[in-house]
Amino acid sequence: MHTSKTHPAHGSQMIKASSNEMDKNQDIDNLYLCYQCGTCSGGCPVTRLVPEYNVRKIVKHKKENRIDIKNRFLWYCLTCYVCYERCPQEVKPIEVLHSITNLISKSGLAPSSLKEGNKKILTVGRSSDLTKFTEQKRRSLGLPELKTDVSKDFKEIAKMTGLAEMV
Amino acid sequence: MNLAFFLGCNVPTQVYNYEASVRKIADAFEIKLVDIMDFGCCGELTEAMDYYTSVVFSARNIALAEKENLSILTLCNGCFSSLNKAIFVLRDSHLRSRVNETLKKIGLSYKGKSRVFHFHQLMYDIVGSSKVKEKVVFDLNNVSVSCHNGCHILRPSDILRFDGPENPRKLEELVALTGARIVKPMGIEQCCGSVLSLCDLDAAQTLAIESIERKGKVDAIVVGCPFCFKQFDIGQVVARKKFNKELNIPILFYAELLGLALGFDAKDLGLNVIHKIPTDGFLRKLGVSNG
Repeated sequence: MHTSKTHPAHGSQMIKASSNEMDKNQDIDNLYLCYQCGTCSGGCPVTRLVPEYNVRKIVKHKKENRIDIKNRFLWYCLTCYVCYERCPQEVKPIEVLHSITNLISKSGLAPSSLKEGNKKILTVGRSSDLTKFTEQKRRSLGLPELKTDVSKDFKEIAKMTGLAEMV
Repeated sequence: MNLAFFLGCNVPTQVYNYEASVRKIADAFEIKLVDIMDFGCCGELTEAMDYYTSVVFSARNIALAEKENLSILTLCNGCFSSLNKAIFVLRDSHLRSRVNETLKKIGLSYKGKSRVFHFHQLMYDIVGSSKVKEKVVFDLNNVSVSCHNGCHILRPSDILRFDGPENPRKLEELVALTGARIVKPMGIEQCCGSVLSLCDLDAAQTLAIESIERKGKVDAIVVGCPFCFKQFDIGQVVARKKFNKELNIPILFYAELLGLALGFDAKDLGLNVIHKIPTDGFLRKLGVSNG
């Protein structure tokens, strides 16, 4: 009997077969309900300015298992969640996207700016430094003294989860 | 009421004017803010790279508050959304036990007892408008402002459950209590563009400038998120240099505006620091001195 490769039931088997640990962290169960209406990309503030970033196409390519992991536009999401709110099929396009960027990050290929930000968290526990200048300014506003380095737990966690190697 | 005061990354290091204002306001409403010295990043910046780690980072912070039997107050929209998203997914017992396995190694455990509130939510849903109105001693009716909620206090709305995902009204209602006149922005609120600056600075700045221009002719734009603040404040300096655009609209945190209405000195609220677009003209209109 002939079965179409894109049939939803078979499709979902396909994604299970090809999914790994990281895929299961995101809620992408509705991926195969996407009927490509374009509500997501139509409401996306980025696509209007940078047409190369198109979340509808990303969902399509994920379904078809043909994501180009070198495509730098995969990192252009603002995380504004407009696509998530408006999707009539509750596909959660942003979570589909993050399942992809998570996989790419595992191979150490996240954009350097994002890696730097995360490296900073593993260095001081925050994504930005509490400088001497800031400490002085804080004091003059009557604000309490804070620890400049709260990274201990973050370092430990990152070692256990593998983030330390991705940055 | 006691709350664990979650500052995250940007508030204590870059926009401590927001922190100073909220500390003053909390005092006025007899809310005790407890500083937990080991609080760190909420996990937001890690989500695109490694979702599981971002959930553990969030759970780690919440677990610290749980040890003190406290719910959490956040100022940043990013912290508000990532901590609440973590609470949402950690209702799943499999994920929760996996996360707790990780947390065990650093001597913590996540139970799911604490709630996470945003400062605007504290004012609107917990303190309530009648109590806020009671404490207003200085009417700001000389100024007109436009509000910018920011994405991460609104969406994902099924998880955050604070206000309408695309037609919010709570911030405008809160601002109206100060007497300030509200100017409705054109169309629906557009993202400030902050996250995009990691990959495409020009596009991020274009989004910020468009977003500001949609607010119309106002004396200030009122925000509640450090990222929106920086995008709009520094964004106007960029607009001047790069795109030859003079906008000159001061950006104020709602907490700063409320602080003025409660009668605090502009200087104590941090209105004379950090702001790249000076607030002097705005304060002069109100008849207030700036430092």
